[in-house]
Amino acid sequence: MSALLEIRQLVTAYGKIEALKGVTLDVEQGSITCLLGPNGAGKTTLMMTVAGILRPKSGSIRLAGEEITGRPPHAIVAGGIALVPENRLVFPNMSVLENLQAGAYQRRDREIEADIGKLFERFPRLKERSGQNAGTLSGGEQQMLAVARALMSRPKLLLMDEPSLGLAPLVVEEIFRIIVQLHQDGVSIFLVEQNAHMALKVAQHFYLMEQGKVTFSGTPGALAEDEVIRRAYLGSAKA
Amino acid sequence: MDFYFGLAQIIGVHTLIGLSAYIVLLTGQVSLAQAGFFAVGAYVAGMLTVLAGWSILPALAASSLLGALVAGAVGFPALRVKGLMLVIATLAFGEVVRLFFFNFDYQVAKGGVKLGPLGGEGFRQIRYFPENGWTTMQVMLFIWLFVALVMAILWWFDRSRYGAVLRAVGEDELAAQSVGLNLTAVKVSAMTIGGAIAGLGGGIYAHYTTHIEHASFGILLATFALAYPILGGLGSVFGTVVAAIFVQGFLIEGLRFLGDWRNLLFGALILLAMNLRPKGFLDAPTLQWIRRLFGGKSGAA
Repeated sequence: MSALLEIRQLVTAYGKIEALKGVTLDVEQGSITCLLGPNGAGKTTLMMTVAGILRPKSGSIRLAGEEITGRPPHAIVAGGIALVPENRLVFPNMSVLENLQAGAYQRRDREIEADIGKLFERFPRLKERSGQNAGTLSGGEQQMLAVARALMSRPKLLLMDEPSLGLAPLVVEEIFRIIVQLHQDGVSIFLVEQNAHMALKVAQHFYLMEQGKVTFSGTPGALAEDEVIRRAYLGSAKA
Repeated sequence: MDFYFGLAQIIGVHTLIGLSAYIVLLTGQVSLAQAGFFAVGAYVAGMLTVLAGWSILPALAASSLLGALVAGAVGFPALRVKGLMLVIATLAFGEVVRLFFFNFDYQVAKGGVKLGPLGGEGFRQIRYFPENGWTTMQVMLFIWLFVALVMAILWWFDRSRYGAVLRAVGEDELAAQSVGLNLTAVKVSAMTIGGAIAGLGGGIYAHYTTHIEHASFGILLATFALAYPILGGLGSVFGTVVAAIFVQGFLIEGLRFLGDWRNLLFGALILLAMNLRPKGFLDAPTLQWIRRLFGGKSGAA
């Protein structure tokens, strides 16, 4: 059985500069897969390429066996991939409710309202603030909203680009609790993180990317065993 | 009284071109091409009534349709560029249209008189309204009927999913893409609707002034088109009409007694207005206040 997301020899360039130099990785159905790496490694470029916002120069991306390389972003969302972009990027002057409705722009079914109701159960704080402009929410609440908005498209695969970025430690823990809950509900998650400690607690598989290439692939155990990675991403103390 | 009817005609037509820029601005695009679509509409409608003998309504339908087609065609390449580049690209398009009409001759002899556009001389004798015995008041009401119609459509858009889509693209393009919006389709559709409104406005303009020429469709008109929705606020279509009344009614006509000093005060007052109302005349709190006034629900806007 093939993986949910299969990326093969993916190259994405900004002009002549290749940010991805032949990336190959898999995200298994029902897993949390985490991509670690320093700033400038190409993690966000990879996310944007999978989401269709950037066009790859070569290589292939397959979702559930279907070739989706080079499709425009709206077709990718329709195909079942939702991106929670870096820095959250909610629509600041639209209400929380309108942001959630925006997540369902692709849908034409009658269950949109019911889905909003379910998300409000999952995120009671968003319900309290449903009429408020998204720009007035705290960073953690905006992150919840960005996740909830992405879920509104009923994705097969959720891409999360550094959900912990710029959030206080307690809020980061809350976001990771949400990630675990989503996983338990059967959502497959491909997560970019710099916070390796938190990621180690939730993810089943890790990739490390450096300078546009995957330099490590393995389980949390293998990651924690790797001396070099441990020093660079987890500090010298044993995890 | 005719003076006020005439003024209301000007305000009505300027509201239309302002609304054509409003819908494009909702998607975050600054277009200086609206005067170009307006010019296309003016010449097309004028030629249809004067040279082809059409009645006013089909002529306006045609000018609106052509405005939409041209805007859609311009939108595809132009909307691939962003921000200041788009401003320059649309400015260039507006000038192309203006210079086209500067060079455009198409005269036909009718009853011993040559009629039709004549290059820099312009297009005179677009006399549909006087020939059919319309009074200034009737023309004014005719214009405002269209203004009301366009405002009603845009107001309804704003409350629909489509309005939310336009605003989402205007707020954050990356976020809009990540929820699956097709940026090109959204922007081109807004441009096309804006072109239809500008073409309609131009068609009406040609008939109430009876004489059009290339110089009326330059950068100044394009700037006015942008100024109304920005000055009025992008929260609601009503802001644009308020701003058109403020600029055309108050700043231009109301201050005419000041003579040449008016022009100086004109700029100063616009600056003052923008400083006092940075989010437009009808900003979010004002709109809520008005809604409460009419007994509607406040809160979720």
